[in-house]
Amino acid sequence: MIEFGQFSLDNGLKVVVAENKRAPLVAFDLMYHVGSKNEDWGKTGFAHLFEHLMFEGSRHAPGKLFDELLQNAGGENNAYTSEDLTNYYEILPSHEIELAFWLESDRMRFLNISQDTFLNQRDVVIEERRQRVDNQPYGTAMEKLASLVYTQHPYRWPVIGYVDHLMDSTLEDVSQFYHRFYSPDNATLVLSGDISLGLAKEYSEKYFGEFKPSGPVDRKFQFDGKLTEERRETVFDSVQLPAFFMGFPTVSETDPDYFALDLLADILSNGKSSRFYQDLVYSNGLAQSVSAFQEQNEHPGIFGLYGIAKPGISLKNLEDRAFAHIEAIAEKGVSEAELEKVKNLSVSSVISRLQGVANSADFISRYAGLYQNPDFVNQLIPLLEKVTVNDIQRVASTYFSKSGRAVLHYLPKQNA
Amino acid sequence: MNTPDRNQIPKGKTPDPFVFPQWQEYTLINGLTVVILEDHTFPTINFRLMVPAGGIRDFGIPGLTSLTAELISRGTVTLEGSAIAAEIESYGGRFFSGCQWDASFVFISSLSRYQSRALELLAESIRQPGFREKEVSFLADQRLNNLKMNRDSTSWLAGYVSNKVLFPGHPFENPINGTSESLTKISPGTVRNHFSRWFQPTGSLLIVMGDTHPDKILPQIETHFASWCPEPWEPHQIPPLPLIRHNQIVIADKPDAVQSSIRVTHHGISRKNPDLPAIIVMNTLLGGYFGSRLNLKLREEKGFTYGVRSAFSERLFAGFFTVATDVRNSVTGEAIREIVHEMKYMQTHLPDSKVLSNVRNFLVGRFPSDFETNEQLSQAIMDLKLYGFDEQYFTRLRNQISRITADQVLDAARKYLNPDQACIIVAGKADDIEAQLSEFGNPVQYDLTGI
Repeated sequence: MIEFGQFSLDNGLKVVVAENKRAPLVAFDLMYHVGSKNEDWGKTGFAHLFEHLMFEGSRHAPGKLFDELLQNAGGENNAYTSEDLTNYYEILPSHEIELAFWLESDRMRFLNISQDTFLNQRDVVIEERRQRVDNQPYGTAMEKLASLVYTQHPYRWPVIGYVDHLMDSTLEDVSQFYHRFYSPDNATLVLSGDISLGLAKEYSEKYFGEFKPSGPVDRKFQFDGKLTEERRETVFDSVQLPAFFMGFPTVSETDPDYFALDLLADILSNGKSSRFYQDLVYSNGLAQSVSAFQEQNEHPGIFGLYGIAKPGISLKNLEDRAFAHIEAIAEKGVSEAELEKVKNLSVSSVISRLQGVANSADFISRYAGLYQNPDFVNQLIPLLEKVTVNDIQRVASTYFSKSGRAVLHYLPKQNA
Repeated sequence: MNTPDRNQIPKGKTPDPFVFPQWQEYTLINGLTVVILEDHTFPTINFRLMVPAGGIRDFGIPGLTSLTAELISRGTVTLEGSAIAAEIESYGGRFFSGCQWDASFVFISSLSRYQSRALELLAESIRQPGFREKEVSFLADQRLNNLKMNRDSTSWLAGYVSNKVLFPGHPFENPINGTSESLTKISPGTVRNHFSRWFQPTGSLLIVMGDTHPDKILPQIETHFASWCPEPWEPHQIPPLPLIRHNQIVIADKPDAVQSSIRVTHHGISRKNPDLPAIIVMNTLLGGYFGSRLNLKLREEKGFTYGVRSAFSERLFAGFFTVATDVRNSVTGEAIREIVHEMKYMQTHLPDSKVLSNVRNFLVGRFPSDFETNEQLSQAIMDLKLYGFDEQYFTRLRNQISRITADQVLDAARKYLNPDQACIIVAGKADDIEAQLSEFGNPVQYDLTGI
């Protein structure tokens, strides 16, 4: 159990404090409820590019002062952007925590970006895309899979964005985006570690209290329904071994079926005793690796399967064998013991995400920021425990069909 | 409302002193050291066994130590690996093993109510490993395929060729997981011999962390481990680093690459080097943190890369120094020029006093966050034991770093950086980059067949 206090400022900034004195450290985690799904087509990648710009100076901490002051205080900082959120964090010795309030409040209201820094960070982000996506074997697979599963919802494009869209973005977009999404009423602050609720209140009021809210963010999205066809594509890539990627549209992380789907993915591929590893990797030598996952998103995400075939193995055969495991569960279900095993693995994994101030702040901020429910971290284990063998069988027969899925094959270029 | 003066940078309060967490330590009669870190925050436990036999023992058969180590968690004389995996995973745990260059480790975790059985499985695995034919050939085959797949990663290729250039004829020359030649040769017999020669209780360390009580767990450790007898063995000599040709310019060609993976590299230092505090500060200034000279130049000024880092590898026997980055093809030559320039700059200029104090404060201030979780603490204690440091080591290192002067930084750069003799390795599209590299010497292409 994680215990915490929480309060809101008049301007709508929500603050959660999880005090623990284990180490003289505090993680300061400021999450804005904006991600790549808030972008418009033609401007993909902008939420993430904007995250980079937040490190490039504000009125009272211009230039590189943000990093320099934090480093001088013995602090570390970074940020990340997902489809749903952008999270900025500092980890500081507790006696220096006021600095994080000063710096984060300054860039919430007084960001100051020049054309030069904008162009520089646009280059950096394009290199980030090359390094993580374009220059990696199978690096484009997840974005291609999403673009097959979704045709309407903005989850169809990648967080990192497309290069031509990034090149089309301008400094004017920066200003618009900033005013639309970066305000106290669209943000949640989580403090984890050696800080009291009283001090958190004092500093939050002092540094964020005077900012005006900017009103509700327009959150209208077009959703995709169930897939009613099979969408297939073959990609010839710079890879040595063929691989398949398969996606099914499923549910959001707040849907009652989310935990059953997550546990189904674990039954298939979590650990050396999982069904995929035992059958496809170890006993029958069809796959070099094979995995299943349920995406954790605010809106309905993808349940995915992927496998890399061993040399000389038919990719179609591997794909069919992997899917047959889901069909077998839909037909015959799973044993109580197998479900108990993956529940125990999930409990251990929840516990490991609560260790360390940075980890726990990040974990809490997701639920506090997206759903105004930080206590969700304490409800995860009871919710996992409630899943029954019937639930597993039911989701296996509900969400998976050969005529409602996307399938990608990655083949070595020399086969083209 | 208390309105802030935003022109006033907040001053920190008085820091708490750094205190390395306490642990309890015991030595069994066979020489095995046992460390217990009790922590009841969460109902979990893990055991980590460290054996001072790393990849450096791979004489003649690359990957043998690592394969031997990994096999320890894949079956005993009486239990199949699959059965052990199913059992430990049903306890919410993990069981795996492997090796680094200086040591091997076996790790097992579980929800704490299963701790006795987890300990028993660990003990049986290290004392009576199965080394079955099927497991040996399965793992060798997995590794052969991984090698094949790695050929499409420019960063892997750059690291691979760097080791070939820096360490010819030395165990560090080869991937720690083995080569396509060695992996086809290793038999269960080879593994058994290697295991009985190097995997001994003497010098080994068992770290227990989590929701347990020494009164309860220590007698069980005695029961399972005290009779693990050391076999007589002769320590073998580790060869010194080879003499190599300096200034080699080597390309690993990947014709469809859209970025070049660059390594500017030379031989490095041992983890036990007495100048380590100054070297840490010097390397941090050069390329060890976000605000480093290299990152500010190549990323924040030029926009060539997502990031660049420099590092000294930490090994018992001297490893290497390297600057590593990925840049778009067209700026490969210019990026290398900047890297060499910054290395030379460190050797010819005293660091700015404000920047130096900033880096010292950064390193000292972030110290506690390296020792926060059980995982980090166990890694730190393993390092103390492996490299023969006393328990004050980390406290002392932090104090030494806080006092490093500009002169010491300059001395460390002159003594331990070697830009004039460094080798330059680039994995990328040769057609685009070869001409750019000619200003540094005569680039040669590395023959990648047979990896």
